[in-house]
Amino acid sequence: MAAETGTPTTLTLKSNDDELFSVAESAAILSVTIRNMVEDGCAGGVIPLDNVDGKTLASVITYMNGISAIPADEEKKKSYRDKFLSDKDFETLADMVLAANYLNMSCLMDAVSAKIAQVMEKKSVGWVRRKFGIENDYTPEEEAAVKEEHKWTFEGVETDDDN
Amino acid sequence: MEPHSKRRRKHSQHEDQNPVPMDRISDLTESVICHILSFLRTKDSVRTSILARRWRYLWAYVLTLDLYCEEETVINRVLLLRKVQTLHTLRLNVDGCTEYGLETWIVFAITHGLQKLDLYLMDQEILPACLFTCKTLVDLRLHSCGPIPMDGPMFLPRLKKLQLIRVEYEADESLPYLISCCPVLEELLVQLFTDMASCNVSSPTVKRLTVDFYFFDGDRAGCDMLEINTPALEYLKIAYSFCDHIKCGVATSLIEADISFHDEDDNLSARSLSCDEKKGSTEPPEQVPKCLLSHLRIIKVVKIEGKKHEFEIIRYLLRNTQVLEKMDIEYAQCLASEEDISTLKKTISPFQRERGSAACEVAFAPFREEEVVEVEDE
Repeated sequence: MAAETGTPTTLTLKSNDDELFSVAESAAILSVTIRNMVEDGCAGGVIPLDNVDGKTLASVITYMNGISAIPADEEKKKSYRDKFLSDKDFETLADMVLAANYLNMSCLMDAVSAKIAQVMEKKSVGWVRRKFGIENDYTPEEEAAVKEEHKWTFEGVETDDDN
Repeated sequence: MEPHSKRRRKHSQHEDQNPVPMDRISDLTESVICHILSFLRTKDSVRTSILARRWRYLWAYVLTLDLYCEEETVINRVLLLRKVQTLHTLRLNVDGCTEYGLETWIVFAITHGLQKLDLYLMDQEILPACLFTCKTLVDLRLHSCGPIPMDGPMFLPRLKKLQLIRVEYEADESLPYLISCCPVLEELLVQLFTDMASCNVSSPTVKRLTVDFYFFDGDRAGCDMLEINTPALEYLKIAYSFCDHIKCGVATSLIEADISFHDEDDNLSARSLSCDEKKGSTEPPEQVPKCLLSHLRIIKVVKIEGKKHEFEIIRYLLRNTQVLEKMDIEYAQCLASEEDISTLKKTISPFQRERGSAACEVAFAPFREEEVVEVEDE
């Protein structure tokens, strides 16, 4: 645990591509994964985060610092999150959601998931496949059968020829 | 569901070109995809089963259902086709359904570990009684439904957040009865829709309280007496009040208050706000609540014992109310002697020079117990 002195404790985090980052413990423990390591006394040296690359970790640390600087005001925290995610492309969001999942940071996980979901809302199957690069591995017969099973889900959806 | 190991694909040769498919969503584990799908309406989430084989049954493992204006048969179908036991969150917006159907869905939900329910019934269906004894519910939002019963079995042992928006009440007693059956409630929002003689909000645990009055197109809800008795309150908002009287009990933890009075035809009737401020030190808020102070005409401060924090509040109120006409200060029985009362008046007298409303009169009177229906005990 943090030494009970007035000086803030700093942790060193290491990404899977060997970049090192310093971050205040008070901000880093937003991640339950890191908090558990700190509580178990495993945070003395460098904390290796094997599932997060340097670019994503830098971004997550920016978020940790930003959100922990806001006092307990859910509305301000929400507007910070919205602003933080507003300029992120889909690829970055996918990296962030994986990192948030691994680091067990529910507030970031929820915000990123909601943002990705927002992109998919009311979109046609074809649009989502193209946007997310999902390869359709159904046979035409199988696809027709699944469509028939869930045909109620097609009302009010943006249409395109690949629907 | 077992989380998959990461299936990262390299797409370095594409990275500099623009309209390149980014197969990143397939890199995500199934539990992460299900989490993303939980933010979609169920209709959008079920439709993802057509994307590819891997997606076929993912929607069926999502812990949230968000059913918006779906047919009864569709709702039944979705509930039957799910493949996971737990239903964490149910958002149900129904425009006409049978009472039997509604009861089936609610029973299904609360027997599958429901923690969060958001129910919007446009037709004011009767709420299934079992809803009010759900042991797992943490967050409940009822919109345009009811009536909330005034007696009978009711116990929501885990409920922390309750929002009652334009619901019907069997009687004025229904609201205090429901609140009294929520032992750990922290956050409460009530939007009144119909007129009430008295609206009583009493809870030892509530920290955030919003009381709102429905107002649309000339229709409005109001109540004669709004009584708030929430000693743990930190945040209070009373919006568009059509109350004749508001009475607040001890609120020593209050950090922020925002009280607005509805200005109907620019013709405000006399309204009163009385605060029973007894214990602790209440810091005056840094920001003056805007509406409170530009509309409030009468303030009654009761059971004043001559304590320092009481003077601070009186000074604060006098300084920041711009249209105040009268402040009644009623002193407690412990200030019995002429001397005590004269000291009280002398202490308050300088505050009057800095008052925001030049027309304001300050009157002193002894406090009489019988004036207050419920008296706070130490």
